[in-house]
Amino acid sequence: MYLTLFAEPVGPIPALYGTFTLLVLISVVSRLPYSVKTGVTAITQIGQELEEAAELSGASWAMRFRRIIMPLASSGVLSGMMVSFVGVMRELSLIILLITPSTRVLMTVGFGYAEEGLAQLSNALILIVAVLTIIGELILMWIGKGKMARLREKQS
Amino acid sequence: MSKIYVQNLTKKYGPVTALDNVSLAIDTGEFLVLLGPSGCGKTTLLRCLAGLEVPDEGKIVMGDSIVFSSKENIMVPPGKRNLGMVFQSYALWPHMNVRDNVKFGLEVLKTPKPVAEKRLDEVLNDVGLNHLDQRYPAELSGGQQQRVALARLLATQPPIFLMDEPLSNLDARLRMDMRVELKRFQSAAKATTVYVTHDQTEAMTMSTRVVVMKDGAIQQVSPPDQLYRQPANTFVADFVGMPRINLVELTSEKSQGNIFTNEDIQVDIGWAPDCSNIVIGARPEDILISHDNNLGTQQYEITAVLPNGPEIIVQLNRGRTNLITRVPYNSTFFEGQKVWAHFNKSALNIYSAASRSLIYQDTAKHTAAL
Repeated sequence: MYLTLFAEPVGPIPALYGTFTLLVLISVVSRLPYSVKTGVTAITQIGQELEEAAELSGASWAMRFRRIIMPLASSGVLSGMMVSFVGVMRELSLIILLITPSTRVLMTVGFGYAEEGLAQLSNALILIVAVLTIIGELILMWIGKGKMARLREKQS
Repeated sequence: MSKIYVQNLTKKYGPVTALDNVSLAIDTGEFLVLLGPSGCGKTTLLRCLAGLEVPDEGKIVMGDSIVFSSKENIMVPPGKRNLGMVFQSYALWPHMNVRDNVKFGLEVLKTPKPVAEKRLDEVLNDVGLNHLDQRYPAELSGGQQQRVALARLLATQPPIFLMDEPLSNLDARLRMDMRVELKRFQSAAKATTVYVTHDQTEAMTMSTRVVVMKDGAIQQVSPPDQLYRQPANTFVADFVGMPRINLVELTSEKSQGNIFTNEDIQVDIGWAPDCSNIVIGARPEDILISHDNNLGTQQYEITAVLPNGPEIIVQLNRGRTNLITRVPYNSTFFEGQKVWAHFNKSALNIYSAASRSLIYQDTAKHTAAL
């Protein structure tokens, strides 16, 4: 059903089928809950008093968000984003039906090669995906440690 | 200049009344301590003053401006109330170093940079942290963190200081030093200060006046010495003072107006209050004990002797009545001894057994009876 939903323009929404936008959109939507959850957790874990202290000194909401909340929550928010990136990187089932020749992604190309029996090419692609995923995971671990932990490591 | 008036403030959390019709006037430059057991509403009151909590009803005036009024629908946000606050947890921003933590308030006020830097150096020097200004809060000891919180409060020179149990996370020794320092900074800044604590020593030593609260209501507002000598009701009497006050329920014998008794003891309180059922409040130092009966009228048995530095706490017993007294460290009293006890009449507080509140001695009537 949803395959044909965006095949034609509906009101202000242009026809999305076969565009790269649709792939991005679908990937974002499917991963949104995980990222949001991590982000919200990161923000709510900041002590309420830290924001109140800033509020008392007269800082506007925008300033508090920029100077206090974002710096403290950034590692959590970023890891939420990276979790999604790593997940989307190796996504196949979700987007395989939405792929057109002009909007192929690594996983679908690899799948295509495998179908045609080109095992070597397929494996090479899988390797690239694996490396990219591992890099993503490493970045995730680095962020997850947090700025303060890195600072402490540097000191000792 | 920065007087604070609180009028009929009420705050409810669901069925729980955190503040029950609280009214209070705080003078400029005063060091007012809110004292009470946990859950008595003292922190809620402080947060209402700060603007971090919105009261349900009432009015708060700071200086010349109304900062909260439920009737006139006024709620000035915390940042516009021109006050500084030290939190129990200090609430230092962990991602900023000491200097940035203190600077934040000045930046918000858009203080020109040279002025701000000068003020920063001044404040950091005052609290003795200028050599640590590049450190992060996590790299400081509890006492140093406390000083950063203090510097952050002092930097913008607000006329009102609010402090929420600022010393409760420090060890006993450091707490004593910081008490002195806090007091010094407060009097130097001449700021009107509201200080929340559950530690009566802090309240007694630092305050100009103490507000004792219980269940969201004010029990007594007095200077610390009066709070100790003349507690307004048995709750305050019991809450203030270490070791605790002796509260004994007594009734009068018909013919003897000044003599009150229970089944064990007999006390001459020296005057005749209107009601016959009373509770006497006698501080441990107001019960004198001796080995002979030149002072006392009744004999008690010593059940415990607890030396405590400059004094010895002695526990007395007669029948089912227990008393605690305080004697100098060089006294010779031993467990099991029989001693004579005497209540210092002039220091006794008499409470009505029904209302638990202080019955004031009508001195005119008292002298006439004599």
